[in-house]
Amino acid sequence: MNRLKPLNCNIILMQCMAGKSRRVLILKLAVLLMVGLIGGKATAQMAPVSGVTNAPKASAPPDDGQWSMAPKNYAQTRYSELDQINSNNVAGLQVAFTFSLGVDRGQEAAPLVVNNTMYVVTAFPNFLYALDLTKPGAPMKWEYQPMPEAASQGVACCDVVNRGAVYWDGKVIINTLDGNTIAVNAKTGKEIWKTKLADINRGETITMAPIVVKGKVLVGNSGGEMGVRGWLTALDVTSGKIVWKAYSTGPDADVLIGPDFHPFYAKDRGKDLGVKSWPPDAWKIGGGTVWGWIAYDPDLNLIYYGTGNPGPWNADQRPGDNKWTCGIFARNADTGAAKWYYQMFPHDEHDYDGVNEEILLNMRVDGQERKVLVHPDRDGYIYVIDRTNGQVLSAETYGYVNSTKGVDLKTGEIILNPAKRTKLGQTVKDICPTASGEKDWEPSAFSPKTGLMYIPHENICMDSEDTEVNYIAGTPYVGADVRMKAGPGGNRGVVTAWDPAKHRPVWELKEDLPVWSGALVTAGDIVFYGTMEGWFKAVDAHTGALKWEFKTGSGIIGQPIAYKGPDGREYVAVLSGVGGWAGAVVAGNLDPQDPTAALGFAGAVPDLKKKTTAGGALYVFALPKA
Amino acid sequence: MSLRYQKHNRCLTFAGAMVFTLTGLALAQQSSYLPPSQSGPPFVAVTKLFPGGGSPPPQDPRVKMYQGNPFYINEGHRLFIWYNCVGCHSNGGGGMGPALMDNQWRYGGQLDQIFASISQGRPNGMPSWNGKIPDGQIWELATFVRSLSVPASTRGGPAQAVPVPPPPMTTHRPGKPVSEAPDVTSAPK
Repeated sequence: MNRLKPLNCNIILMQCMAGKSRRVLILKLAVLLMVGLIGGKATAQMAPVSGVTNAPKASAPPDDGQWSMAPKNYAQTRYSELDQINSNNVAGLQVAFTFSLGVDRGQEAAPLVVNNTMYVVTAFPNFLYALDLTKPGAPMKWEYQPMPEAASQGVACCDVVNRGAVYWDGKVIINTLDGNTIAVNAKTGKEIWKTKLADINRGETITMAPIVVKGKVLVGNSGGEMGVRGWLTALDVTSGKIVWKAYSTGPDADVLIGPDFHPFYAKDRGKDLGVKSWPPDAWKIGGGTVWGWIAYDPDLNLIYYGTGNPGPWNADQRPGDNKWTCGIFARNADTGAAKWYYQMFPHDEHDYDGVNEEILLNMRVDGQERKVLVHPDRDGYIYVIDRTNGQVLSAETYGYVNSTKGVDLKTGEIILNPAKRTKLGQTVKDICPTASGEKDWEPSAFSPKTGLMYIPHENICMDSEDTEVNYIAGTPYVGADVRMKAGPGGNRGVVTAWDPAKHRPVWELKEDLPVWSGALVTAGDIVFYGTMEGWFKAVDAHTGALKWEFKTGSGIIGQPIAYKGPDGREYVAVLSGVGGWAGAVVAGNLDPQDPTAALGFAGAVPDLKKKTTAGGALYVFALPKA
Repeated sequence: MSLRYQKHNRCLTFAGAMVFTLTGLALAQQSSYLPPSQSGPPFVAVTKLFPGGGSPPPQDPRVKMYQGNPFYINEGHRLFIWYNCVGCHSNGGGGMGPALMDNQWRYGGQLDQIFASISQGRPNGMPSWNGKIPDGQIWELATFVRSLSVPASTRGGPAQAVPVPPPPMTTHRPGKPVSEAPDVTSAPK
């Protein structure tokens, strides 16, 4: 394995892209040839591309046909073992029922299904609905309205989204935009406890989907564009009381760094780096928010999550490595004590939050069976990290990257491209990937049948000019004028099927608009995802061939799920409702004549208002009854 | 955005500019040092609905002084960045807060209504800046914000040194933007 991975794609773009396309094409042709040789049923029978790659059983137990947490399981595979819907019959998929959410902001949540009830949480004002799946049309069982502070909408950086609820032992637990975590009785819809965690007057909100590990609800804050101090906290699921809280900046005691902390790389070792790697007191408003995904390995008793960008975006105002932002923490699941940490991007200059998913896999690396986490980062690299100790085993680009030149696996350092470093008062053109990254929050899926990850992502670059910014509590703390634009090739979205064992793409689908929805993969070898125009698509997991599509009422940025209904049939559900950072132009009715609107995203999607309108609805699909 | 105001400034005669600037400074300082209760508008309605008929309350007299005045627009632009307005509203296209250049107004697009929105805050996320930003500066911010949706056809053109009163605001209807100060309305159509 190369110590220093040179980028394939950062020197001469067109040749590189052409090479990549050729490679994908050859692979596609090979697959088609095999299909042709073996016959019509070949796709379903094809052997997995990499048979040794699998999710650990303790993190991804056998599927019970329900969906109780947004990422499906602690390994975050978003893989359903249901196989009634497959590439032979998916073309017959029909709408089973729909439900209007009563909210027309960006719907990023995954619906949950437990005990024949579907639970859906909406964007602000965070309505929680329970739908009875045993009755025709799935009528409402109850509705819970948490009544969050309306003012919280003014401190939510990128639309007023919510990424989903979690079910645990008779409770449905949600976060609200104004910073509360609330447990609701799953049968009655009555509130059990409510704990205020975040302060909107300091710019804090909560948008992430909580998960429950060993009776503790894990919740982190949002507000990386508002000069907040990031944290992850654990609440007792019975009482809602805080058990521990781990900050992402500040003294070791606040970060829960103690004697058990053993980072793999020397650069992440030292006392109170969360203070020393900042100008005086800057860590108090330095970001590192925890608004993404959390994985859990019961065998190692460790949780894994990423920290967000440092603030402000203008990096000249915070010389230093800005620890512990833009990195991954492994922590003891009981105490929160840090075990290891790896900083993908010290002194981030491009808003490359480290919060994307960590898919837990056991796979063969250089002939050895390793326990890894696979993390497709905003910075454009897929990091394969030994989850026992934080060693980076590989870091490969999965799209066009020119802001960096590779990751030195010996030191763990990312190698910056000096030409793309941002400077105060200067416009740096064509930084790729853009601030929202090669991929933002939208989660990937992994199929143990194909051994592939299915990564929904973007192909967007930016021009960026750093500006001086004052810290005013409760207001943005950004300091950059950003103008985004389509990346090489002009398609702003991509779905990549990636082989984590072989570090390479197997197929890629280009989408006109950024792909801002999550992915779902099933044992029927179908990958589901949505587009911002509103198409809900089913593609072959082996080839990427489009098998079925349906146009929903608004753009899709939600997380599709699959479940077994009370009638034993397989259903697929997704929320439609454009928004999020990528869709803020529509959800917030912004004016795309200003390309810096929505922190620069308006520049990349000036056409979005002509392609979709705001909405909010649940769509559930099934095959016709036999 | 600042370019178009620089263009105005270039068009000002030297004498005109001096009179203008000095007057503006004096007025800005004067309004800054008045107590908030006296220096904000006395009463601002944010609705067009007056049960049984009636009309909006008279506009604050200072609107005539600020509206369309390039000096205050420039000052407002500077403050718009200084106070992080730009962080939420971008350069007028919006983000966390609504767009300000599209001439759609949730709480009214008259200058005194914009003043009230900045000073009082608004329920869906606009903070209240009363007591945190001097009232004179809020007037300047409002003047800049109002200028962002000046109809394109009236932009540019020769500026006049002394602004004359704008047309009555009662002509403002949704979809028909308020006319701006004569330094811009005098531009050839």
